[in-house]
Amino acid sequence: MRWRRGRRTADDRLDLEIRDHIERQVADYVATGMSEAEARKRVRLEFGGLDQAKEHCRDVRPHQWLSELIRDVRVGFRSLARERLFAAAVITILTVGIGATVAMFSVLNTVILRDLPYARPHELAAIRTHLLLQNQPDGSSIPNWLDWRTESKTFAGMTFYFRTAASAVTFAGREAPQRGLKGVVGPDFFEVLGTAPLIGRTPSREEFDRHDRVVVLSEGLWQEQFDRSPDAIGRMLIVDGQPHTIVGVMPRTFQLPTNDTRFWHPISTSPLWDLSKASTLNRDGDILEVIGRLAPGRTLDDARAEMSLIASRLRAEYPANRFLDVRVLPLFDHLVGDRARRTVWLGLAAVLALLAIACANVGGLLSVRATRRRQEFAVRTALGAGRARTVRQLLAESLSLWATASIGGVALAYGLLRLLLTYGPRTIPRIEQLGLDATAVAGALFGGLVVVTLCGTLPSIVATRKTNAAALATRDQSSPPRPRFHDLLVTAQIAAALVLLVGAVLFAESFVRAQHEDPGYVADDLMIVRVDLPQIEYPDAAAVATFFRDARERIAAIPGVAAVGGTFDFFMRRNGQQSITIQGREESPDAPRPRLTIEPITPGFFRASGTPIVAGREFEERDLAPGAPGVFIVSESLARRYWPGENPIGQRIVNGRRPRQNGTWDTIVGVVKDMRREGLDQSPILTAFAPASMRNMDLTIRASDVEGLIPAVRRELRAMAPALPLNRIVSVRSGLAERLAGRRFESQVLVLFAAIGLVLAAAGLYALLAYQVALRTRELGIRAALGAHRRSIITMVLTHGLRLTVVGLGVGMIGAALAARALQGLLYNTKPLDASIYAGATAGVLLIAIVAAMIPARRAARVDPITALREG
Amino acid sequence: MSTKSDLPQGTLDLLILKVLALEPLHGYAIGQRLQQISRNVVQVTQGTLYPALHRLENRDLLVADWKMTDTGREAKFYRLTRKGRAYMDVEAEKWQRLIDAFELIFKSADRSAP
Repeated sequence: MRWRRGRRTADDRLDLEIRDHIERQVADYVATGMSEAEARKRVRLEFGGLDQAKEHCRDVRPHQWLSELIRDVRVGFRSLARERLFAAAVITILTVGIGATVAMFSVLNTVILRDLPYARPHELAAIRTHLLLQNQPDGSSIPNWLDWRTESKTFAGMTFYFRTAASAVTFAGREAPQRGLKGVVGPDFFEVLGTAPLIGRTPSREEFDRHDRVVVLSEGLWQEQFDRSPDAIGRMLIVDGQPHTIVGVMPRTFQLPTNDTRFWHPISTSPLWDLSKASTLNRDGDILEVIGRLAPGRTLDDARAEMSLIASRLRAEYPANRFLDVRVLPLFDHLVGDRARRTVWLGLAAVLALLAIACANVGGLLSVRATRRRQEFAVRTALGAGRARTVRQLLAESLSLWATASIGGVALAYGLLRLLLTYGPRTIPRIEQLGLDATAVAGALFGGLVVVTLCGTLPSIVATRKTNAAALATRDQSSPPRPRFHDLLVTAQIAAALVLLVGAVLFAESFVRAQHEDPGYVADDLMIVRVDLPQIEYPDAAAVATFFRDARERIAAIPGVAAVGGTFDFFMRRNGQQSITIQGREESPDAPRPRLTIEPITPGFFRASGTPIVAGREFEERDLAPGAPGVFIVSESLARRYWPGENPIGQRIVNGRRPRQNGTWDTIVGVVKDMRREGLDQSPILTAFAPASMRNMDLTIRASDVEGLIPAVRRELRAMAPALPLNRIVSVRSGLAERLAGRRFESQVLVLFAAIGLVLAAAGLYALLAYQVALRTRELGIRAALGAHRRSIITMVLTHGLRLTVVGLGVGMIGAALAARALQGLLYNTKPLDASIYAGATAGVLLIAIVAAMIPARRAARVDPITALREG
Repeated sequence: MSTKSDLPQGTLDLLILKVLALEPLHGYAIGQRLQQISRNVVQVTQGTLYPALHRLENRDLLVADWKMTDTGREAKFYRLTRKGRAYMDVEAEKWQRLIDAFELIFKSADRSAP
């Protein structure tokens, strides 16, 4: 309000000054003998336009621009309100463009660009075992880690976390027992990462060496169980029946190994630790993810050189290491995986394509409007508006559009991010930290501003430069300046739309193909109930076996249940480094082996999962009995690999790389179909199933109304073990869907973008042709009057539209092929250059373009010669 | 009026500053003074005088004070600032050089004419 009052007094003063001048002049004239009335009249004449003079004075006043800008913007809004359809179109397109861009850049920044939340993150490296035979990275073993740590000089510290650290345990603080993920970590884990605890401390070296049962809570668990009370330090957390002392709380940003890790405890309390120190454990185990912090002044290359020397020495020394190398990579690269990175770049590419279309479209609309207003501006100039003034007016209109779209765009981006958080794939790391990113907002708004300003004002500036008289006289609009620029914009839109469409089809095809893979079991009507038995109450294998036998019997007795089985982990990422040894085909223990996994299951598992038994039989209760002869069931792919064209039933094998010391062998009693459980797009791994009851198992239950039976299942299990946490009960169908969620999400986003892109491109083409037809009304009228056929007029307009389309399609085809090649790794069973997909997409765009061009073409043909000529 | 010569661009500012270098004046008086001194050659319309005054004021070359005058009305008196004086000296010198050069060319052209 202040500036308003200031202005008023400034105006008052100006008034006073001018009036003083006039009075003095009048007085002077009167002194020379003029009558006062005459003097006044003369003064007024001399002074010229009083208001003009005042206005000029105001013009030189500083800070005038602000109030003028506001006035201009107001006029801008008013002039846009007159053209609601135009304004709505521009604002909608810009809103979509800005919203999508902000959302995508926010994702990019959160997932890819933001540094890890640890001290001096560039010093942190992941040190990974590399399988030379498979040429793929893997986890590492404890003995190798020990050697690396002892011998390396380039790392100031080297620690690790359990690769399967996301293993679940039962824990109880103050409340009822729950199930949650624990991080099992090496010595100095928190120190190497350099994150200070929120409260308390991290486990000390002494505690580690003394095997003290200590835990560090996550901020989330601390809040839930202890309401953020500092008293939590020193209290007990029961982990798997064992009391552990709470020593500290880590902040929310600390997310290793996973973002939902509930607490951490040192590996030294696990029996594995002592075993490994005795070096009896396989050196080629893959259970650790090793992290190192570079020593001051050392680079990653130093570390690589040193580690590869160490690895080659270990290869020479230990047979198990013969095919193992080491890779050192920035921790960041390891944690933000390649797949996630490519997914984000894919999204970004799609957004940029969409943005290009949106910008070209808005540019087209604005420049059409500006050209149409040539006459208006000519009139304004003739009436005395300076060019600067006209440009300012245009600028103000553009700003009004931009401001409205910006508000909408940011709101849209916020909505999109909320959607992404709720429905987006969990496979993208750090996605839960997603929020509107200030840089992204600033960048997108600035980009929008540039496009709107340039496209909104440039054409008019060019237009106003034309001699005014010519523009004023242009009642005859039959030969407007050919909007080459506008043709280019339309071509670009078509090209980008084709790229988006091809991408969308490729990804949709990938998803559909993955979706239709045969899982090797019947995913419907199948339920998984996770059971983790605490060590304290079920101390030995016998107790565990009894529990699961009873549980299976009780659940099977529930009316409606068709079959019950159990497996170690239905959806688990398989450990591919296990092996079998075949009687009569004993290989050297360090011979290369295929990726193979041994899976403990209970009788009834295949009946429950609906997996076809290809040959032989399923496990029975007697196979679990103590002293029963050892049996295996193998997957079809394993049978094919070891006994191609032979019957594997009756073959004798053992688990491991060498025959048993006592010379006994187990017998293969069955062959089952391959099962895809890590995700339908993951090819099945060779699997040997052994009958066993593990402490941690997924019970698999098949029933016609399996959801409805959950309460009964809970009741039965509770009756056996009242304190058992049962918070993971999922249907296999939804579990599978979750594993394809990333793919589905990618294809949905692309399809959505492609649809928007197509609509925009079609609208762009339509707008261009319609505008040209409108400008050429008179010409078309003359043609019609001279006897031109309706059809030839339609052809003329269509040809122009299709020429642009074909050029756009040509460019788009090249772009699509390049993009598809770059994204090849993200596709599933789909060729990036599948000719039928390209042909289909091209035909689709062409068809839409024809429809878009047909409307103005028909309008052109309907031009009535009489009206057209009269109006002209 | 129309027989009077137009002022070259930029000279009005300089003339105003020169007039005000002698004493503070209000707008009307400045106009009168310009006319007087130039023996009516320079005539400034109000439509250009006041914007020029305001512009100079905004550039801090002039400051204005409101004073009661004999007419019984308040009038706005402009006077030169230190910055205005310095600006005037520099500009005047520039103009002087230009005029010298101008004369030189014209005189030598006259001489060389047959």
